Amino acid sequence: MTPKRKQRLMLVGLLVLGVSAAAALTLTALQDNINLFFSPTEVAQGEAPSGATFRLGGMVVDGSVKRSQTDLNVSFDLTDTAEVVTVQYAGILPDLFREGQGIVTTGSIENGVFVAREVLAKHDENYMPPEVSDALKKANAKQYQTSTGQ
Amino acid sequence: MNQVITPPAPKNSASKGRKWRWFHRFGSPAWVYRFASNWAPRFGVVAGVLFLIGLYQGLVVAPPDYQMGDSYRIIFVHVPSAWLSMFSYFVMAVAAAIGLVWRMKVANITARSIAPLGALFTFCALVTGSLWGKPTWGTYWVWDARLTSELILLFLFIGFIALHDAFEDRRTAARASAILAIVGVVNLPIIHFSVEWWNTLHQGSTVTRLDGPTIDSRMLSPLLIMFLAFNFYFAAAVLNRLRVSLLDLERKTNWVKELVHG
Amino acid sequence: MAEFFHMGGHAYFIWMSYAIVCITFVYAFFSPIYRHRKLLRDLSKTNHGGKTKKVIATLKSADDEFSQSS
Repeated sequence: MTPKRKQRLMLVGLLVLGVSAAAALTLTALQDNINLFFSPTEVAQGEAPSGATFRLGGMVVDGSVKRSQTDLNVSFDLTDTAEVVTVQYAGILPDLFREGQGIVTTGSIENGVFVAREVLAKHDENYMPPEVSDALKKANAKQYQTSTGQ
Repeated sequence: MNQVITPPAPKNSASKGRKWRWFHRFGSPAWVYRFASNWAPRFGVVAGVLFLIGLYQGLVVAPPDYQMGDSYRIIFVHVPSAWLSMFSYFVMAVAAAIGLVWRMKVANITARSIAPLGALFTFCALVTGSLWGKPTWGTYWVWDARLTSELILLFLFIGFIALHDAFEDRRTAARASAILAIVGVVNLPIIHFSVEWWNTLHQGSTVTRLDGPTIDSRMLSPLLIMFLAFNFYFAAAVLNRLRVSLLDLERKTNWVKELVHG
Repeated sequence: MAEFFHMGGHAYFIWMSYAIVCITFVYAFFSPIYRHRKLLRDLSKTNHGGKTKKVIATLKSADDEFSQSS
């Protein structure tokens, strides 16, 4: 390699390093703005904007879903395993909505309850056929029985 | 009277000459043109066969997902598109950097040939993702880190093409666009790790995990076949574009004249 | 068969995805091949290599005639 080419190659390397450093600093500074949603813990700590619209994300607590008999009103609890926020929603829920599912919802806190305008289901990174999922559930239940039965 | 002609001694030592020979070959438009003409159809046929197998496996053989049912089948076009959008950007940036450092014309034309295909893969990843998002998440679009950074990748490809074509002088075009391509490389790790660094609606990685893929093997095999098909398609499509660009830009040279009239 | 196209109610999303990928990929693959063919045709027409050869050939035959007659 000629010295001139070597020099140009070093400049390319420096360019990549410089831009990476700048990007890392910018993204760290903007951390809170890039996150899509607040967790129930952040809401409990008062980090979420009060009185304004924001997104809340968490897992639907098992057995917390209460549907109205007459209209589309539904209420459920969201948790990040530390804190719990109760959510109220009037509308059609996505197909993937179920207990134990990750959810991202848009709305605001009113009288201690999160009133949702939109509910989105989060999908996890696991893909399997139904029979495999059933087998897994059965195996888990068995394990649970044997561990609690004694 | 047989006269033995001895070739002139090479400037560099023999081993160094051999080591760099392949590299210099890629600097010759005539050689690359012939290489592209020979290999593009072969890669194209391989890609076509793999596409047919992958589509059959993915749409017919693979079982439905326990949560999403059949809609997850979009994965077989979405994930390979997304992978190639990033891979093609990386190859484009490397080619542009080689063009910048070695002032190699062919490398620059290669980068310019990759750009529209990269934009296509990014577009496909965004659109198929959106069509998958509606039945799964409940929305076509959300401004989370993964979706936004992938959209930026589309703008980088388009920006590269626009900047390259804005200059009359080919060498200025090559230099300016190469710098843009190199700067944009920073976006690649951001796209990949966005689902780990920030909370997003998009789920985490399924295939490229340290603890192994979290997808059933009957779903993984069509995904891998489609992934291979997309890679061969990319190789064939780039060579096709490269071939016509070389012919166009080198139309005044002897090798093109020989090719056309010889 | 109808069930296959129905895709468990997600037909629109699945077939739309595959159709978009299929159409754009086929176009992106074949359009440079078509342009290449057209360019080769144009180059063989506009390049004056053939004409020059013809001029040289006529000059040569005239030259031959001249030397024969003298």
